[in-house]
Amino acid sequence: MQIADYSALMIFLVIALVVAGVITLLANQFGPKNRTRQKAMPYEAGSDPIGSPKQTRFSVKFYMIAISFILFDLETIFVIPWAVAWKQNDVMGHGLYAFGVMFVFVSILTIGLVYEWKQGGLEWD
Amino acid sequence: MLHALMQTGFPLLGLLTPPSGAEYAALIPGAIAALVAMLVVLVDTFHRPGTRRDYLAYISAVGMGVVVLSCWALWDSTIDRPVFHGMLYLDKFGLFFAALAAAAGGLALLQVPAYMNFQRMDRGEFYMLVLFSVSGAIFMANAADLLTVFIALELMSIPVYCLAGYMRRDGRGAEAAMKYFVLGAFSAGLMLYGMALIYGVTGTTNLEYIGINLSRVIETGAVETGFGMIVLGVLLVLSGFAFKIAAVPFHIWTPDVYTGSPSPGVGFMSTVVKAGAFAAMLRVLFVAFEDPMLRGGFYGTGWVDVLFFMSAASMVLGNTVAIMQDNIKRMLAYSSIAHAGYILLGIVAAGARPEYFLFNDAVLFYLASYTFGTVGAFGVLSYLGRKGTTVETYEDIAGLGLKYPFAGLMMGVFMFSSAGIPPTAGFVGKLYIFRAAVDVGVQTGEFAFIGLSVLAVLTSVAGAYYYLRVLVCMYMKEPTRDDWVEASESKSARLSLGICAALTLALGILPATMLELSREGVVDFQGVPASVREVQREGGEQLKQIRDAAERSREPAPKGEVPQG
Repeated sequence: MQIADYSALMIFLVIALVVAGVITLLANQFGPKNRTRQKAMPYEAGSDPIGSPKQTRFSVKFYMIAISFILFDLETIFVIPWAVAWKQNDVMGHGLYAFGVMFVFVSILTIGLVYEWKQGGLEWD
Repeated sequence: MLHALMQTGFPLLGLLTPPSGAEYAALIPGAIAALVAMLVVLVDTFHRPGTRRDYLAYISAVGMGVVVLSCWALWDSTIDRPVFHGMLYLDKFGLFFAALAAAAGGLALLQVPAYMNFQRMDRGEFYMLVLFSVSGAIFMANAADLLTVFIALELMSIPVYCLAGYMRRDGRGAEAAMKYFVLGAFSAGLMLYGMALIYGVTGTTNLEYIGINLSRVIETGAVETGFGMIVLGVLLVLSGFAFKIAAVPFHIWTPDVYTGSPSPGVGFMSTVVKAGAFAAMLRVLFVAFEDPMLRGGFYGTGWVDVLFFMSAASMVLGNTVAIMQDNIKRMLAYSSIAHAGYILLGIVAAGARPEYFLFNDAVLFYLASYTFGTVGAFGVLSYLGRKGTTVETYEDIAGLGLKYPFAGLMMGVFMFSSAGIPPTAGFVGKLYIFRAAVDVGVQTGEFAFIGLSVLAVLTSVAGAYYYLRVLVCMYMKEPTRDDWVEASESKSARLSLGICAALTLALGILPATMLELSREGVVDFQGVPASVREVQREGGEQLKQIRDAAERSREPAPKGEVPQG
């Protein structure tokens, strides 16, 4: 594959950029503008905004949920193919080995869970 | 991987069978480190609030000691092919680095209680992060596959990113963690991209197969199409390693991160992370990228030339910028850049031609000498402090040498070692590195190597200025404020400093044992092509002769001494 083979792609990229840029520019320059207060307001699903987003603080507690989710999500992703393939493993005589490997994996994750629990990562408040 | 195995006629069934029992030996050092880390997690979970966590330091240090012992026990059980379907090596080279990483980790952790007591930040996470990172460094040194290299690199780095932000109430800590994480993630991404390109050309991630396939691609003249990809891949992989070892074009993060991170953690990250990255770099360069076309040096342009300029730039920049610093941690950060330059000089000399492969032992020895000196120096910085802070600037330590003789003496040993002044390890390390470069220069008639070692000597003279300035401040200046700083009561910190100093002096006065170990590590380096294996065999025979001669000279025992078995 030579660089020249990609020339069509490059031409396409340039045309796409130019067309998009020109349309935006034209709309910006010649489009009719009549600003009203209603239009300048931030869109919040049609209702009137309650206070400015600059001053509103929100809880970041959700990140703990997100991290726990990743933990268990990964566990599921690894366990399901293992469970599906376990029968073949057993037929080949490596059943106990496959079980042991997954046991090690799950117990490492369990230590993480114990840590999270004791640190209060599962409490909402 | 699968593709490569089929290509080389490896039976596919082999992939589906579990590895044999003997192969698990390759896991032992890294697995022990990980187990100790998990043990510390569990123990800390059930920690009684309100009491101190010093015992975690003892548990970790004992665990790290067990890792070192396991390396010693496994020393003669090399397996001559990569185990776990081509994922890990078990050889003396890897074990050398594993023992080094574990020793440095254990020594750094022993200093933590003193530091935590000053900073009022006694939390168990510090120990866990360091221990997980040690296990990553160990796996990185044993990696036989680009995937293992990358996973181990992340296992080593991610805890260190958290460690950088450990002082969460300190704005500089947050800055350090953020910078380190963003730049580190970026460089890891670049490295992964390089690995993807290499995989694209060779169809395998196993280092040995990459070496074979790259040579084949270059030989058969498929170069036309693929060579740009190979070059880009090699450069990207190199840049990933250069970031971790803080060599010059990729050093920008170092001073800020080292200044913002907790002192014992810096001692850890400037030694273990660097050692792990150097080990993996040696593996990748000498196993996968060993083709003369990629090696360069005398045949054209290759990684030897890239490292040559990185080495020169690191030495010059590190040593000159360090002179102007007021903060000791910042000064040590620049000095660690300079040390990376010296180590690269050794790699350049050893990589110049296949027959100089054994000069890598200077690299291993230098890393060992650098490790103990640096962990110790940061240990002294965490050993002196007061409520809420530890010493950092030259002003802070003014006059402390006489007030706290132990700390002053220790700092003296570590600074002399870093500056490379005779009875210490740093001198012997520098001597062997420079000698390797000069030898290569003389043997090949290539003056660039001699020029580079002259530059190295000159820059290390410049380095003596700022290392000795620490001692001048400690001994020849009046304290700026009375009772501002006190020495820690912690016995473990004192033990750690003592061990570091003893090792630094021992490596300087009696370097033979460590030299022999590093020579054995290089001779036993697995996976190299046949031309280098020949060199290794000769080196092994030489080593045997030296040992026999030493044995013979010991036999007519002096009076009053019992001859050793």
